[in-house]
Amino acid sequence: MKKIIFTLVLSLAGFSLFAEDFKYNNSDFRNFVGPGWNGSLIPYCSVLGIRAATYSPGLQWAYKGAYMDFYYPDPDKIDGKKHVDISSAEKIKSAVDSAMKRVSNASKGEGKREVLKLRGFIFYNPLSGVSLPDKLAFMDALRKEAAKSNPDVKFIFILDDISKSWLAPVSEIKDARALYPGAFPDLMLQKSRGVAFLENAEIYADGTVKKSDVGRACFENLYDIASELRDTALTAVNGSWSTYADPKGETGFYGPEAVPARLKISSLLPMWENLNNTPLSERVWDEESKIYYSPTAYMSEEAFGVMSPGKNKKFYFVFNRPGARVMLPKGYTVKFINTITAKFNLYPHVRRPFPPKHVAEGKMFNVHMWMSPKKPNLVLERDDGFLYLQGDAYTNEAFMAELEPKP
Amino acid sequence: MLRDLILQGVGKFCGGVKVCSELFICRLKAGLRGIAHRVFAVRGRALNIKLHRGCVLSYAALLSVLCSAPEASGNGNGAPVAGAKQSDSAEARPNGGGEALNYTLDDFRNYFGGSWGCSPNEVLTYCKNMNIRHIMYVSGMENNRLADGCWFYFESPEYMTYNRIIDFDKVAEGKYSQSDIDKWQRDCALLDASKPFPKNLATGWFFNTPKRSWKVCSLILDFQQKRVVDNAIKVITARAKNVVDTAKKNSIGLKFGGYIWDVPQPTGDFYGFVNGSKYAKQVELKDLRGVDSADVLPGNVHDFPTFSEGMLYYYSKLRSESKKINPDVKFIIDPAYLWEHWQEHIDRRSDLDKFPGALPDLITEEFHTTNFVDDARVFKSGLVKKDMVATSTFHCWYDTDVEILLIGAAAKEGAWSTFFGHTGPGCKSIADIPARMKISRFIATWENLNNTPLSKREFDRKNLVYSSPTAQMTLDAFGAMKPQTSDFFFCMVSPKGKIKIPDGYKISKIKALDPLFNKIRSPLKSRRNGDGSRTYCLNEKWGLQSRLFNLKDGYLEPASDAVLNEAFVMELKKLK
Repeated sequence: MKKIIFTLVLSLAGFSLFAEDFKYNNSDFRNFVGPGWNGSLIPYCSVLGIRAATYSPGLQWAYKGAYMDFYYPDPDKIDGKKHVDISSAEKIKSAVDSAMKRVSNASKGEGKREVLKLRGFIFYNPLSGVSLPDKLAFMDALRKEAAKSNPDVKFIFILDDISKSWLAPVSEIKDARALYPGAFPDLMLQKSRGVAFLENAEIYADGTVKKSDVGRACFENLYDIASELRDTALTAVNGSWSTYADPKGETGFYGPEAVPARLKISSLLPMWENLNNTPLSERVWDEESKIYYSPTAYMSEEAFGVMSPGKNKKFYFVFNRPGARVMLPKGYTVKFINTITAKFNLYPHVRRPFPPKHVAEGKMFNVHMWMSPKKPNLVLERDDGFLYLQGDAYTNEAFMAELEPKP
Repeated sequence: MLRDLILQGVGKFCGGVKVCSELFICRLKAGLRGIAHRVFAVRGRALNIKLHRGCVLSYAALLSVLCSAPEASGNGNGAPVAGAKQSDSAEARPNGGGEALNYTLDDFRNYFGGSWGCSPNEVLTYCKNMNIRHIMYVSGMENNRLADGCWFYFESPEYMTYNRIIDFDKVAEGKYSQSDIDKWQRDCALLDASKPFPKNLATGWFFNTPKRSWKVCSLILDFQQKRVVDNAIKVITARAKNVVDTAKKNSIGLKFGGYIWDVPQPTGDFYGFVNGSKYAKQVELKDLRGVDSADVLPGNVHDFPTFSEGMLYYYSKLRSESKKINPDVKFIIDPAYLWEHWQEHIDRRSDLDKFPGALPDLITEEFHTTNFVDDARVFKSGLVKKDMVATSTFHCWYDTDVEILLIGAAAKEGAWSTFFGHTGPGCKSIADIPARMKISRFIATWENLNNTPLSKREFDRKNLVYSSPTAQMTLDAFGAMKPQTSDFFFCMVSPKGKIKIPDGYKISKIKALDPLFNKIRSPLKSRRNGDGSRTYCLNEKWGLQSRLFNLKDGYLEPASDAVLNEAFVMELKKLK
């Protein structure tokens, strides 16, 4: 109990009471997917209501009618690798013009029609391998230029370590913020495992950075469920953000379908807690029992689950081991259970949702006959508000429950 | 007598003749009908080969070649497979009888039929990673480099020759031209020619329209008209040639393999409402009309008295015409139930000799029973052998026990296993198939392609445990050696999962597999523990703390729940 209180107090440090009144919506610029995937991410983003994706070559051709904003990654690099020369004002102007031209090409699809809309730029370790003042000047100039067509253009940084990779070096430049105001990011995400971005007090010392300006974009707990649980839970209780990103392609995952279901859910969870406007005071991380819960999400080493933001109450969940259970969002019961694809889409026609069958213990959901001849039990919803897994074959696979308010 | 003498003589030069003569005797015992079919089929082939190859082969030598695989060649290039001998089970296995298998990766039964809805790149990537060479055609594969070295198969090819789908609402709205209507009435099977369009048409498969309105269905070509059949075959073979030519232009060595049929019935692919049912099901014309014959418009002529004969003529002519593109063209069919929906009808016929080449080379049973190996009726006529059948069910995504039962039964009998059509209900991506199924579905096939002797394949049906030197299945883990490699693919299903390192091998590396079975990331890092066991961890700088597997006493076990239902590969090394 003491640990819960301590976690709550810690989470509120740095927040004003105003934080409980935040009203995020799906248009928030932080509702996005980071770099590392090909065009197959569009159906994934579309079904989950993710509004922006990080551009990869060919994304504009993969566009299939879903309205999508995009972030252009590392605009000062050619093909994402080699830095352009930004060593003088003239070269900066040339680099900015070149970047904006590439952005323009990226946004146009068939018939040179604009199919993607620029939301901003993503920088991965922006200060790596370049002169700091030059980079600041470049980023400042880039934002000014991009703002001509989108006044609300955003900068997102993905950093190995927020303090070491950005704040500390920039603090060496006198009056950096006054000289290069456009260079400063709107959101900083930590790529490495752990929550240094929350625990390092230096980040918040000068008051310019809040917990809602930071988050994580980490795949490094790929097979470490306990660490992923802890890192995600602490991110969520602090009102910080999350997304999936793999800027250097280190995981080998070519698209969202290749990412384990639990990582997809954990990368969504803190972001969706914010977009659900779940009050911070109701987000609880019990370090002792290793459980995170809120009215809209649940995580334990056994199972992860989170409700999607929006009118349709959908609960995405995954069981990490046999015999697991996951807590349903508060006040809701399951109407149907759906199997979903690896991109979190519903299957067509024959895969009808599984309705409940009322049994003594609660509501049992079976897999239907076309999928498995014996119609095995999938989950049981008990009166305690938990879904209980009924077999081994379902572990590490995501499902989606359509919810309705409890009578 | 003379024939036997010739056989014996040629046998000195051809190892398969002794087997062939034994097989010939077996045919005699099977009944006159089977013998007649065999003799006429062989003679027919002998004639063709003499004409097409331009050389004179003795009848006996030809018999020795063809008898070693009555309706199916031993491998993809038509060469005979040596070493066949009588097995302990009822039917002789042309290919080895269990101990001297000699399959190669080019065998046409090394086949993936689950291409519906999948992209060519996905299908070809997975097949490449699985060493699968024969693949259901996916549009565009002739432009994909990964298709090099593969064979493609058209599925239900007659449907590509006409506009098969009719929407009855559109009929009512007058949206079809008179020319469309005339064509359908002229070329498609009619239920009742006296009725007005569209009520005069016989119906095929009903598409899953919302709320089962039964408004959209397939029409069936009238195979009782030779004109219709011959025209369809022209279109099909032209299309096959076009794909081959396009691949050639792209410098891609994609070859034409043959055809696959989805739930075919020798009586025609009809669906209808019978016995007052409100649901359409697969039926025969005799269920709808009382006779195995479609009706016909005045002025049209039926060249065959029954629809079944028309079907057989179609299959026979299709094969003979397709041999011009591939002399070793193969037919694969996927009936829902092998006996009831296919073989029962075939065995009733006494005229198969009139339709040489009409019968399939491989029969994959779609439904989730072991009847494809257990039902003695299937094999009684001698036309079907255990190495000509397979399971292709996609219904066991979550019934691991049923999956083991089917695959274990197939493997134990030297039969095959694959996907057909859907890789799962509504599934349009290989990425969505559970990892364990992407391995299990090919275990029986891999056992054959690894030439693992049948005697070494042990299957405990009661406890659902399968093991051999090259594959393992339990409710807790699946694993198999990829043929012609020392890569052992595996998937732990539960924390109790255990994979035995195959005898004679040690682990060189373990790698993760992505959903298309590409090997990804660096090999796992191996650490020796104090008790002699080993722990395998992620090797990436960022993942060094993550323990994935433990190796103890020759068994690999999961060290984390996070690896469950994910696929990995052990690269093995032979022990010295």
